[in-house]
Amino acid sequence: MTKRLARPSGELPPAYATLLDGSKLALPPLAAQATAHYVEAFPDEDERYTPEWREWCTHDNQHVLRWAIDAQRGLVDLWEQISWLARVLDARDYPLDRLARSLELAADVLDEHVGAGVAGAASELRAAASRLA
Amino acid sequence: MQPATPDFAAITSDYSAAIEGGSYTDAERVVQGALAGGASGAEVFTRVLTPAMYRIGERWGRAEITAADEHLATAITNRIVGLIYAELAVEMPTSKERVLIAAVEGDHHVMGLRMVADVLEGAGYEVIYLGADTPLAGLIVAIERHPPSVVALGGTAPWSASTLADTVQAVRAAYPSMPIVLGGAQAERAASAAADELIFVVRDAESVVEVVAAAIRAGPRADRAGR
Repeated sequence: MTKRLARPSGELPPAYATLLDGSKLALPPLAAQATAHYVEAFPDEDERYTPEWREWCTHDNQHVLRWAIDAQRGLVDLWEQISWLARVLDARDYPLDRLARSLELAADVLDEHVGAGVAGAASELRAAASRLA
Repeated sequence: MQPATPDFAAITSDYSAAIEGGSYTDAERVVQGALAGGASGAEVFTRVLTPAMYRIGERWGRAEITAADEHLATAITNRIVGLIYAELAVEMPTSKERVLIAAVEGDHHVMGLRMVADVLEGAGYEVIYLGADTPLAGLIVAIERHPPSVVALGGTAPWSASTLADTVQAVRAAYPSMPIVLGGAQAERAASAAADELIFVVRDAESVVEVVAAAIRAGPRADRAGR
């Protein structure tokens, strides 16, 4: 049975992150890319959820990317945030192995599209994925 | 004979039941009872409303309540904050210095910021309250237009620590000696990152008057442009 989702509402997810060199990195295109990879990895999500799930995926990826990049600056405990997100998603019957894979895909996007300036963030995301799995 | 200390755990339990049941009337009755029983407005903010709202957030996280339930509890509590404001006005308005208060860009969590603003107004400070999601450029203009003795910044969203740190850096660049008070869940992290002796952290509405007074004492008078 397909689970009906509402579109994301309320506070918007963060639109950018500040890198170690002070430059700003736009998050929506990276989050959309991570979502595209997730769609390829888990095509059955379209049967499990109404189409709004893709908007939620991008919404959550924007948060995850911001947390990971802020963690590089010592301003976020990434695992604390991922643990919180995992509890919220688990309470809504979302399988956490998929969250772990989603974190790895977000790390891949950082490596592919940004590179060395976010190597620490990508590495933290992969470490969080391992802890979740 | 000492007046009885209010039982804040019991009051919070009753208040939680009221907002989780969606009843403004019950919430108001609980708060009026607490105030009549000797609790101060700042104590009700810190020891009743704040833990009750944390409980709401935790229950939403566990999928025990819906986002609509959370919004209802927030709307009721926002009305209650307004109700308590009347109880806080104890000193001559604007008898003290000016404090400019804002939530950083992108952050819409302002209930705690409103509590802090109200407590400061009640203590006689002139408060310039910019509210939620204040663009950085606008904040700098507001500081210029309403020269404060202290800038108080709130950051509560889980990604706000970096915005708070970046905002502190920008305010510091424009006003090298301005005391800055940080509040909200991300305040400690941002303050640690700033490593600045004119940064102060406020943990709750009950302690804000003391923290702002300390910040004003620390700030050089020459930096209080136009005051």
